[in-house]
Amino acid sequence: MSLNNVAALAAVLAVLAGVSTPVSAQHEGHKMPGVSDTTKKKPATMPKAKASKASAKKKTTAKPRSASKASATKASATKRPAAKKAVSATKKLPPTRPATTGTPSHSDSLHKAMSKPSADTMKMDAPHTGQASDPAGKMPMSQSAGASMPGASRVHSGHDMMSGPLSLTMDRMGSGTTWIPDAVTVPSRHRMFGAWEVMAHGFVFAQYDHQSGPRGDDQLGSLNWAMLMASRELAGGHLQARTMLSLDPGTVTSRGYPLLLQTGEAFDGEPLHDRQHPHDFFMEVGLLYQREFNPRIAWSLYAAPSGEPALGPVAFMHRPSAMDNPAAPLSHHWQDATHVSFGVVTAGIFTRRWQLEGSVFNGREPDEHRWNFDPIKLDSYSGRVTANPTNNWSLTAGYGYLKSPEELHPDEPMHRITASALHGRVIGADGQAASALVWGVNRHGGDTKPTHTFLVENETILDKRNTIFGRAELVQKTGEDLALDESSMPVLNGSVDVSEMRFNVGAMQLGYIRELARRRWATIGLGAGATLNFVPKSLEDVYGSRNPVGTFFFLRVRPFHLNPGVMQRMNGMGTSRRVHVD
Amino acid sequence: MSIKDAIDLLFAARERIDFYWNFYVVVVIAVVGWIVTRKEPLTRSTRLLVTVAYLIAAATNLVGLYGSYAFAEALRIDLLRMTAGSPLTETRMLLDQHSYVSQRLSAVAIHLGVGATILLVVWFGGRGSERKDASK
Repeated sequence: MSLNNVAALAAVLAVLAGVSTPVSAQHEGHKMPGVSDTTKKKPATMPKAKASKASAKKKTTAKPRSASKASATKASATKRPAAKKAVSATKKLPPTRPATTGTPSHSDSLHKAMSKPSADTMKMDAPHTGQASDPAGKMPMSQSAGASMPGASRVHSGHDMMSGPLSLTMDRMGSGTTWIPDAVTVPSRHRMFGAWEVMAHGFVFAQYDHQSGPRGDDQLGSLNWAMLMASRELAGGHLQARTMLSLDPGTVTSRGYPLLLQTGEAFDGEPLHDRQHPHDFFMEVGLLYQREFNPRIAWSLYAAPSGEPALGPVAFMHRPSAMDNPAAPLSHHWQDATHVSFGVVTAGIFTRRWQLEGSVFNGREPDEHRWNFDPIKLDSYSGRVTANPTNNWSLTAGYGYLKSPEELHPDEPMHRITASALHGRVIGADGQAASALVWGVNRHGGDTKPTHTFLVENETILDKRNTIFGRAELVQKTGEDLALDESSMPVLNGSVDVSEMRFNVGAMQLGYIRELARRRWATIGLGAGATLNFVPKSLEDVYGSRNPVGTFFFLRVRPFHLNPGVMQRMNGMGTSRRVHVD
Repeated sequence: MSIKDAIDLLFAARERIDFYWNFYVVVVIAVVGWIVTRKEPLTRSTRLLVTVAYLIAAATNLVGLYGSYAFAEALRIDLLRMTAGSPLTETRMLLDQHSYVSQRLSAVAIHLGVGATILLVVWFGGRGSERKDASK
C-alpha cells in the first residue's frame, strides 16, 4: 500500500472515528485546509538540524525561570490526560518517515488528501521547535502527536505563552479569581502582542424570550458580553489586565429580560421580580498580579473598580456548565450575584491545587444606571477557599458579609455562605461535559431564618455540532423577594405579613443548541430552552398555574470550543499563528 | 476511482448530512417557537396548514438524510475494500466499526418521534386551557 493510501485512510479515520484520533490533530482548527495550503508553501516538517537550532536558540533566550517552567511542563504532562491520550494514540500508528529528509512525508500526503475549502483556516508562519508537540517530552519527534499528523507538527509548547505562576494556565481562570476544572474550557482565543498575551472571549445571544402566565412577558433582545485579558511578565511576577463589557442595558433594557420567579436588584425604585436584571456595561475592569513565593506557592493581588470578590462560585455565564445557557439561575442572588461589584480588592495565596483568598469590596448591588461606574466603596468582606484536587474537579466554599447590598433596604446587612462543586470531563475529540452543584444561603440582618438555594446544572458539548444543557433549582424566596403583598393573596385576609412568608419555588430547564456554521474563530448556534417552574399552591393564582413555563429561542455566537489539549497547543502557537479568512 | 476520490465523496456526503440536520433543527425550532409563543388558539385551517407544511419539510429532509447516510455507508464499505491489506489494521478496524446504519436508523426514529410530538401539540395542545376558558 502506498504512503498516499495509508495517509488517506488515516484521514478517513480522522473524520469518521473522531474519538480515537489525537485531539490536536483532529480539530478543524489544526487539520483543515488552510493548514495544508500553507504547508505547501512552508513544509510542515522542518529539517531536524534546523529544528534543533531553533530549539537551541530558544533555550539560550529563555529566562532563568524557564527551569521551573520545564518542571511545570512535566507536571502538565500528568495534568492533561487528553494530551497524554493524544500522544499514546499516535504511538499506535506505524512510525512515520523521519522528518530529517525534507521529502514529502505522510503528513504531506495527508494534507493533500484532506485539502478541502473551509472558512476557519489558520496559517502558522513560523518554524516549530521540535519536541514541543510531545507534552511528555519522551517521544522522538517523528513519533509525537505533532509529527504524525498535519498541523499539529508545528505546535509549540503551550507553556511558553499560557502559563502564569506555578505554570497554571490562564484557561483555569473563571470569573474574577475563581477557578474552573482543568479538564474543561470556556471558549476563548489567545494571541501574542510583543510581551503581552491577549485572550479574548465573549458570547452574543439574540433571543426571543417568552414567559407564560400573568407575571410572564415576551421580549426580543440580546444578551451579550465580551472579555479581554492581557497578561505579561512583570517584576518577577505575572500581571493581568482585564476588562469585561456588556451591552445588555441597551439590548434587554435596564429592566432586564423576563424570567419567571427571578428576583434581585431594582428598577425605578421598585424591586425587580420575574425579570433578570441586565449586566452593567462595565462588568469588570481590573488588574491581577500574581507572583511565586517559591516553586510551590504563589500569592495574588486583585484590584478592580468593577470586579468580582472572593465570594461564591464561578459566575454563571463563565461556568462551563452554563455558558451556553442564556437564562440566569433563579439562585443568582444567593450564589454569584457579587460578580459585578464596584470596588474590589482581593489578596490570595495559592498552589497548583488550592487557593485561599480574602476580599474587601463594595457589597451594594449595582444600581439601575447601568452604563457608568457606581460609587466605589470597600464596605464588605469575604473569604473563600478553592481546591482543584484533580483535573476534573473544582470545589469552593466561602463566606461573605455584605454591609448594605440592597438599594431599597440600605440598613440591612447580609451574610452569605456558598459552596460549590464543579466537575468537567472531555468527551471525544471535540466535546466536554461540565456540571455544577451549588448551594447558597443568605441571611439578612435581623432575620433569624436564612433562605437556602440549591442548583444542579450541566452542559454537554457532544461534538462540533450539538450541545445540550439543563438546570434544576430549588430556591427559598420570601414574599418580599417576589414582590407579593396582601392583594396578591387575598385569601389570607391580611392575617399574615405576606412579605415575610417564605416560598419554596423550583425550576427545571432543558435546552439544545445546534451549531449551524463555523466562521473564522466563531461558531453560530441555533438553540432553544424550556423551563418548567414549580410554585406552591398558595402562589397558583399569582402565576396562573402551579407550573408556569418559560422558553427561549435564540441564535448564539461565541468562539468555537476547543478541548484543553487542543487549546494548549493552539495557544502555544500564539506568537506564530495568524488566523485569517480565506 | 482512487482512495482520494472516495474520501472527497465522503466529505461531500458528510456535509450534506450536516446540512440536512441543520435544516431540520431550524424547521423544528421555528414550528415549536411559533406554537409556544402564539397568543391565539389555532384554528382548524391553521392546524391543517401547519401539519401539511411540516410533513412536507420533514419528509423531504428525511429522504435526503436517509440517502446521504446510505451513500456514506456505501463509501465506507468501499474504502474498507480498497484498503484491504493495509498495514493500518487498527485504523481499518475503527473504520469498520463506524457504521452509518445506526445513525440512519436514529435519524428515522428522531424524525418520527419529534414529528409525532409536534403534531400532537398542534392538534391537541391547549385543549385544556380552551375548555377552561369556555367554562369561565
